[in-house]
Amino acid sequence: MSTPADPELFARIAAGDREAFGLFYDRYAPVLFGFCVRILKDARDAEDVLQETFVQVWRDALRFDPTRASAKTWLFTIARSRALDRWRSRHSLERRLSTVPDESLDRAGAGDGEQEAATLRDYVSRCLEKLSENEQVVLRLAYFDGYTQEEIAARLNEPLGTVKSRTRSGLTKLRAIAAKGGAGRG
Amino acid sequence: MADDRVDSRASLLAAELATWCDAVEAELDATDEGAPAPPETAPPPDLKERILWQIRGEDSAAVIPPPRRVSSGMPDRGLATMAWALGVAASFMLAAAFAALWYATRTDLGATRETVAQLEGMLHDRDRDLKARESELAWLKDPRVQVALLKGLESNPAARAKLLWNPGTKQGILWVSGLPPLPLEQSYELWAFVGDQPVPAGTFDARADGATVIPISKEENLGEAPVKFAVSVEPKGGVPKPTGAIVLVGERL
Repeated sequence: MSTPADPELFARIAAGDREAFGLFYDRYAPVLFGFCVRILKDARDAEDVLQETFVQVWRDALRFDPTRASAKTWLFTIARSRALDRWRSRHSLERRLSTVPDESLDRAGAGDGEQEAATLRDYVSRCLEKLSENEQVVLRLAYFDGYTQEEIAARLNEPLGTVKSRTRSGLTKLRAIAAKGGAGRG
Repeated sequence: MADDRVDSRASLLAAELATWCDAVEAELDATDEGAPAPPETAPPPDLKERILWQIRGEDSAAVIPPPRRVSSGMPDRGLATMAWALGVAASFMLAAAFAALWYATRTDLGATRETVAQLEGMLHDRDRDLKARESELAWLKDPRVQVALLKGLESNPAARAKLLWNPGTKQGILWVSGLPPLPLEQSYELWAFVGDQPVPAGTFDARADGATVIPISKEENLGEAPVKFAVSVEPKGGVPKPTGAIVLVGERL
């Protein structure tokens, strides 16, 4: 007997069906766990994120809007967000910068969460400036606004495939820029 | 030196950006239908059960996570938390047990004190009885004590009485059996004959069960050497000279 498709499973999960939730877990846990390990490079952290992600799916299933994204996309968006939060908490910018004190950060009150977030935003923004306009647009929406690919496509009124293609090319360039030492200091 | 700091800071920012790039790319790989299937990695086998346990707990607002499997060589935070929680729970249970024990001991102590008081009272009574028996025994062992046996006459042939008295202390005791109780206005009266003259030696009432013990005080004054004794039925309180029917008679042994 075949298992139900995602939309049906999600409808049942939203209705509080734990059996459907278990089937959904069986379907996506292995690939999602690999996804988390790939981001975090740590199996224990990945395990925690996987748990947090599925618990959030259970909690927020009623709020899921199938017209905006697929269940699978929504699931991975949650996992990515939580994995990055976990990564940041593990590699606190504040802690890392405290090991290499910088006069300008000291003056600006380094150690303050808002300050470090502003520093990172400024850095990412300067890196993005080195990409093409099309690539910048999709990656800014993804990075600063947290939009999914489907949402970016809908917002820009572009085909999803085009958005994904621009995102991939932009990521490749962005990673190369970061590898070369980032955007410089100004 | 300052350039080193700038380079380190830039590399840290670059690492954060690269991680974000990796995450978005991984997400694209995982969700893009046209992309190769992303690699699968089996999560810990007990993770599903833990998640199901957690959502059940959230639904019932009673989250008690199942024990987390311990990975070799890695500290287990869930286990540590559980150990801590178990430690706290054990402390509370231990404290509760001590409190219950203290309360029970206190209650038992109160009951024990009451029992000890009762036993002390019983011991005191037994001690008093023992001293009385010892006193009686000492009295009976006195060589001056004399004994007389009395028998019932025709109206009460089964009646018996035994009289012991000490002329020195002028105290005695009378055991009576087989005499019926008398009307309220009557009582039995003991007579000691000194020569031919009866001397009143006290009155008593017979018990329904037939066994009666009558102490004879020194006021009764049995005299120095009575030889004969008798019991008659007399008006309540006794009379100086016998007037009623004789029911018991006997002589000194």
